[in-house]
Amino acid sequence: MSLFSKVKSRLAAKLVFYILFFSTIVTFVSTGTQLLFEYRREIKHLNSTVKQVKQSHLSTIVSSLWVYDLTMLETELRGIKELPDVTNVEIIRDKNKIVSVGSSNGDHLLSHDFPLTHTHRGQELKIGTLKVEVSLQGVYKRLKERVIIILVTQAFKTFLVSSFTFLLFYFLIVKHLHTMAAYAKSFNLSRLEIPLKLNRKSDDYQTEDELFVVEKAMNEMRLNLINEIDVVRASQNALSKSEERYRSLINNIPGVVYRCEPTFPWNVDYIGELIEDYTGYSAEDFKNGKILYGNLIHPDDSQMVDSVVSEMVSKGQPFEFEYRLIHFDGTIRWIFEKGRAVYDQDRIPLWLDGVLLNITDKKLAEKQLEEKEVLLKSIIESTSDAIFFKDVKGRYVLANTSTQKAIGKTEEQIIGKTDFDLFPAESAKIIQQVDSSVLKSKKSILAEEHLQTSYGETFWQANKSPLIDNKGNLIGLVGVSRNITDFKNAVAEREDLKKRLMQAQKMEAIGTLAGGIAHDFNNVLGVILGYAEMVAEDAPSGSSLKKDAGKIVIAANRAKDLVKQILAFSRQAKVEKAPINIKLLIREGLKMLRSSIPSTIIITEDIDLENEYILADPTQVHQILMNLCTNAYQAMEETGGEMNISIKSTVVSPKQELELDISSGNYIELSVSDTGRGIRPEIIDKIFDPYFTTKDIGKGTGMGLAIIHGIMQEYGGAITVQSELGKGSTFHAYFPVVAQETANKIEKPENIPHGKEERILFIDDEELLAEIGKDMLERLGYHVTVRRSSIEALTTFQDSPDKFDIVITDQTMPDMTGTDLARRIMQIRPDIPIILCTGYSNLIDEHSAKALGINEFVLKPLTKSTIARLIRKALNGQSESGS
Amino acid sequence: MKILNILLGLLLFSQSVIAADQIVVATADGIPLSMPDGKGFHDQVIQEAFNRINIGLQIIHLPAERALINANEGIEQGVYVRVEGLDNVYKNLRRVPEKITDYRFVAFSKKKNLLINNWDSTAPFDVGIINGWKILEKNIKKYNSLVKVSNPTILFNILVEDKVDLIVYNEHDGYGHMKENGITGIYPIQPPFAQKEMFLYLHKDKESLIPALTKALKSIKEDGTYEKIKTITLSPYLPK
Repeated sequence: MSLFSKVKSRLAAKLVFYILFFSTIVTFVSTGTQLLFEYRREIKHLNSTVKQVKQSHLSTIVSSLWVYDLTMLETELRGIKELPDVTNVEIIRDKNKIVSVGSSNGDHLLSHDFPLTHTHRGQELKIGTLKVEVSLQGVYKRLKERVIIILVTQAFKTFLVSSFTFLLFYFLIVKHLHTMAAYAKSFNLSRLEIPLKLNRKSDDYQTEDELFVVEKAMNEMRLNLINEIDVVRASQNALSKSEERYRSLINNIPGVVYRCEPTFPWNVDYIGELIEDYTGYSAEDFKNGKILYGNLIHPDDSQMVDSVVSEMVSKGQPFEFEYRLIHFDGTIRWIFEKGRAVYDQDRIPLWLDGVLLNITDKKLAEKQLEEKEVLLKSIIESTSDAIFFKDVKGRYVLANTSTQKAIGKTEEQIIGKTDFDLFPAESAKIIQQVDSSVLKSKKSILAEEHLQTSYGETFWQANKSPLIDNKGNLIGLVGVSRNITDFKNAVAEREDLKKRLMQAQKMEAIGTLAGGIAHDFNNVLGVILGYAEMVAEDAPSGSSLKKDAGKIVIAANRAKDLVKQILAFSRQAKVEKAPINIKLLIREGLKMLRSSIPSTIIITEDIDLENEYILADPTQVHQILMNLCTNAYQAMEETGGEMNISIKSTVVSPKQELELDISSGNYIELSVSDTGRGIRPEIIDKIFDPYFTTKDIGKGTGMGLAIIHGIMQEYGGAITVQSELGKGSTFHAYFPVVAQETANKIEKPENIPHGKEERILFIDDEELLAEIGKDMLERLGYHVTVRRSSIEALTTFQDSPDKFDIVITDQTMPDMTGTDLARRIMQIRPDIPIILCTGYSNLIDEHSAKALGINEFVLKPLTKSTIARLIRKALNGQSESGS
Repeated sequence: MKILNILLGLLLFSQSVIAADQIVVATADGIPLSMPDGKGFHDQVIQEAFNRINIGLQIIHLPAERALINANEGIEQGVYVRVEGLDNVYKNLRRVPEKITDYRFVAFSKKKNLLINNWDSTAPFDVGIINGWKILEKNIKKYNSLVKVSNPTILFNILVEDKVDLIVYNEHDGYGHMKENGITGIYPIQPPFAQKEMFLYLHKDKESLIPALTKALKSIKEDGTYEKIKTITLSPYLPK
């Protein structure tokens, strides 16, 4: 131990403190005495200063004040101010300050007043007062300096004395005390043999002073201790063995044994060390009261635990329960506790003894199992498939929500029942057959069941499996059935669509075929029509030749329209509507019809109409009539009957608008009725659908009524049907009436315009058509140059382009098409008018032809009037009023 | 012995009677306005006025401020001649409303041609005045430097010794002082830049004399006595 640290020791500190304390008191007393004498001396000096003022300055001040020489007065006062400790000098008259030097700020001031008198005219006058203020601050300052000097010297002196005293004390006493303390501190059973030996001179031992006595006493105590220690050690060994056995027993129990107070919070007297695993706190924390066991019980369980313990303790019965403990890390431990109270002789509970078991893992397993069950139930209930379980007798044990919906009953109504209780017999048999197979074969079966359920007629895909318990016994079957009705319907619909597609493709092929032959057919018709017109024109008026030629022209025109209709049907030609007299059209159609209908069918007509006009394509109207009549005929083909065709004006009222889906107004109503077998009510809504037919294969396409329906909609009209099974059907077609004046304007006969010897270059590779074209145009008053090759035509035009006023060319030609020829000709002479004629082409139509710069486009066969108007239109650049 | 006692008694009685009708008045005026023998201009005017109201007068000379202090305290019963308004400062003094004279404040300088015509004209100069002359201390505010001295002798000395450019002083006092002390080469700068009426003040105990004194002073001026005294007393001192 260093000397410094020893100084800090208690005894030394006390010694130094007392020395310092006493020295300080002495210093202060002596210093105070000195200061008192110093103070008195200073005051005496101040008084002498004041006296000096009175003796030396007073008369001068009086003189100056009498003559009121303020400058002189101020000079005098400054002289006084310079004296030691004088802080303020002033002359006062009638309480007014006349002159002053210095300031009277500060404390500790001594003030001296000297009256100033002057003898004037034999009379002593008081002309003012001299006030001198002397400050004690200087005195105090000097005294303070003196105190500091005294205190410093005294403190130094005290320090020297204290240090010497301390060293003396240390070497005589403290040093040996430290030796004894060190001996005592290191004293233990292993050092009992070592005696205490103070480091002193041998002379000191002879005196046998106090230190000697203490040393001797400590060594005697050591010897006594050696004797006693053996006895104690033997007892300790015995006790230690006993405690070890007890501790081992308690700690090996699979749980925590405890003893605690019988009331909340059950302060622990003893608790097994395993409690640290349960709570995170050591057993010592509980034993010393740092942690209260009751406070660790989960708040939701605390009251239960307390009440059960209280009740059982009061009854003198053991208690057991489960509850949650909150671990130090915040997690939960489930505890099973069993215990009972220990009572005194008066049945007052002293302790609770018991054991705690950690059952957290068991609780978690239970919870997981419960969650798994809930999940399984949720899966079963949330699926759209019907899941069910039946026992071996076919009684439902489980039926999920989808099963309940399919059966149309609640779970209570289903459980315990068989399928014969829940389904129609036929459906129940189907189910039972599958179930029996599963139970018999003890194998899973995937079957399709056609059942009558609450959803109606349905199809189910059932996956049924036998259910075997853990002993291998068959206890029933479990099934998962899926409603595949929509799927089945979708498949059927897909098949239907497939058929329709094939039909459409067939119709398209027919259209393509029709388009293909239309060109050649039109050329043939062109020749017939051309020559018939020329014969009719040349024949004498009223002759039978003229009439026959006229009929040929009409028939050829009809044939031309039919070709056009075929093209329209195959969407390869434009349908053009025009105001037509429907009465005449129908009559004409009926004439043709009668020749094709067997006599077993009686045809009656009821035409009640003036000259009404409708806006329509005559061919389409003809088609409508023929189609409806053909249907009527086919309906009565086997049995015969009566077919009635009527036509009349009718007015569609606003009330009928919705029913007919047309605007109110004037209409022509064409009705075709038969006395045939009629139409079944369930299909009457489908008869206008495309490809719907009840006829045998080859007799109908299913398109007839669909086309009529489409045509009537395009006309702004409607078609309806009334039918009674076994009695016949009536179709009504409503055509909007066109205004009379419009019809007149359009129907007004128009003269065929003739040429003025303009020059035409006419090109057609068909010899007959080239010839008839030349004749027809020359008859119309034109000069015609004919070429049957497009190459030749181009050469002719190149040689002399100004020799021609207009070019008329066929479209379909070898080497070069009409459009290519037209393009080349226009390169030579852009202003030349060109008319393009075609029997059929899928490459060009009117729109695309005009886009190329071709003036007019016309479908073959050419009629005289048509070509005459188009030539004039092309030459004049006039707009055509109608075609 | 008895006769001696009677005569002594009469003498004391007569002195007390005289003392009762006599007033002591102080003045700080100098030559030629007041003279130690009481023959100065102001002395004789005051003397004549008191004579006319049958009051004996003793004139004593005191420094200017002391004269006012003493009169205010009643040590002397009056003071002359002083400017108007001192009774506001010295509360025990009462002014006799009839003026004794006019003080003409002029600048004296070695240079004749200085342009001094109002109080602000002193601005560019080093100026000297007598300490306690209230009118000068109050009005001379603009100067290069201002030196205050205790008496006229020092005042003229600092001018003679070129310690100042000019001094401001009462014109008549200035003439008298230069005459008495043989000072030459100093010139008054005309015209005076200020002129003040000067009055006699009495202690409030003698306030009852004021109406009679006023009347007496007016009569002195009216009957030509005033001008006569002025001519006799001042003419020897005026510049030739």
